[in-house]
Amino acid sequence: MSKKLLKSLNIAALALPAIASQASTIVDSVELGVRYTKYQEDSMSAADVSTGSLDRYDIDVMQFSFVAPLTDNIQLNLHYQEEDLSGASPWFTTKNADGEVVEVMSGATIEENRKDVIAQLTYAGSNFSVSGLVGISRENDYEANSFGTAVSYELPGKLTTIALAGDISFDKINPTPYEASNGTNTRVTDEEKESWSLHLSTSHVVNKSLIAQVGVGAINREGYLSDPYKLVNVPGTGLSGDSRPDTRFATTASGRIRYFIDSIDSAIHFDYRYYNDDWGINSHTFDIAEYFNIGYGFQLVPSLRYYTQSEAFFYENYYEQQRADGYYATDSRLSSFGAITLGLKVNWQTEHWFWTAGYQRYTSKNSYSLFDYSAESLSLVSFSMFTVGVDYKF
Amino acid sequence: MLNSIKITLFCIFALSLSACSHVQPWEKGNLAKKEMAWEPDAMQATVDAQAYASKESSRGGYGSAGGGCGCN
Repeated sequence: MSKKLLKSLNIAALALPAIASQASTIVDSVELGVRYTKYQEDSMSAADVSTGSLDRYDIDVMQFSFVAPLTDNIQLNLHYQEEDLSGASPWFTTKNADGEVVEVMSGATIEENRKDVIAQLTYAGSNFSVSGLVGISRENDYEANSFGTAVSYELPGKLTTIALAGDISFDKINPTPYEASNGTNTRVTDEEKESWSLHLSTSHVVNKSLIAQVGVGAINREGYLSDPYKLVNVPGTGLSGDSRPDTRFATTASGRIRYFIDSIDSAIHFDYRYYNDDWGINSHTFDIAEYFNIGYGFQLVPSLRYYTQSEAFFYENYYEQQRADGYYATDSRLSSFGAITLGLKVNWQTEHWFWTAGYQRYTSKNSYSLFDYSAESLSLVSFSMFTVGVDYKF
Repeated sequence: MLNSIKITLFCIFALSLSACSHVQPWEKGNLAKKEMAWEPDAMQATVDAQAYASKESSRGGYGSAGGGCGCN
């Protein structure tokens, strides 16, 4: 198997120039920031893999940020991100000689690079803000051009802010060709995907230590939504391309709280998100973090995240029968599972500098799910992320 | 339809929060602290959201969902 024979589009998922629906204020001086993140997935268990590499993704992420006030009312945000990925990816499931379902991995190390630029302009008045955003992401097999906008309005009294954000993205997908034994390319070419999203939120200052936000959103995706690098063992047909519906509509509802506790000089964060889409995915996400100020400008931030989702209506770990609708996917990300993330971060802030270093550990299992699941997925991932960074404010 | 009803009720509850507070501008010192922002570290939040969106089947929720996602 050649080095670039099997690549995943997963890294392209690291391109989400989302635009937040919240009130904007103009910074009073130029701010520069840089972050380095090491993302490393655990290896597959040898007992679960039929053939191919056990090593999964290892990604180096560099981020650069530039924020500047252009006038008293206008702010420019620039963000550049570059990622280098290497590793192997689950390809398809099959059965071994004992009749057990096992995973076939891509055989060689995948090498991939992605570059992403986001530019945003914001105009802020006394009680409102308007912003526009352009995002460009490039890989050799995936291009995305996205545009976003957001408006926010502070109600009289300046305790409540209503915000609306939206974006649209045009993606082009050109997977690396895969030559079958007869020399023909079995992968799709020149596929396209379009997506848009809207998000409406309201934030409210409840008291001098508590602010709360709730929001609702809609996300629509159309076009090629399958994974061109995955295959499925279809009964009676053999190995076929991953096949999913070409539309997907989702709604979200969320709530967030920030509460400052004077007695221990710390801020507690609580976030909840509900997600539902017409592929049958329902999910709940809970995030909690506490920012402890421990003196001399240092801050300790432990965090806990719990995520759980139901499985897509067409997902199977291994298909025993043909489906009437023709949809097939054994991608574990469509299974019912739960995930727990534990994190710890240390921040140090002075008048001009902000230093940060953090570690997160993500573990996912079918047994962590609050929803029923049909079978254990073999390729659910666990990973570690280590981030260091610094900001300078002039 | 059931989800829409839930979301609507959720919004009504949310908006009802706005009717009962009296915080003066000079009392907003704690609220202005960096650690009280929705995302105190926007770059870290971006990487986190991207990692989760690539390994899970959900996205968005706290703003627009963003483009350029090839996480099929």
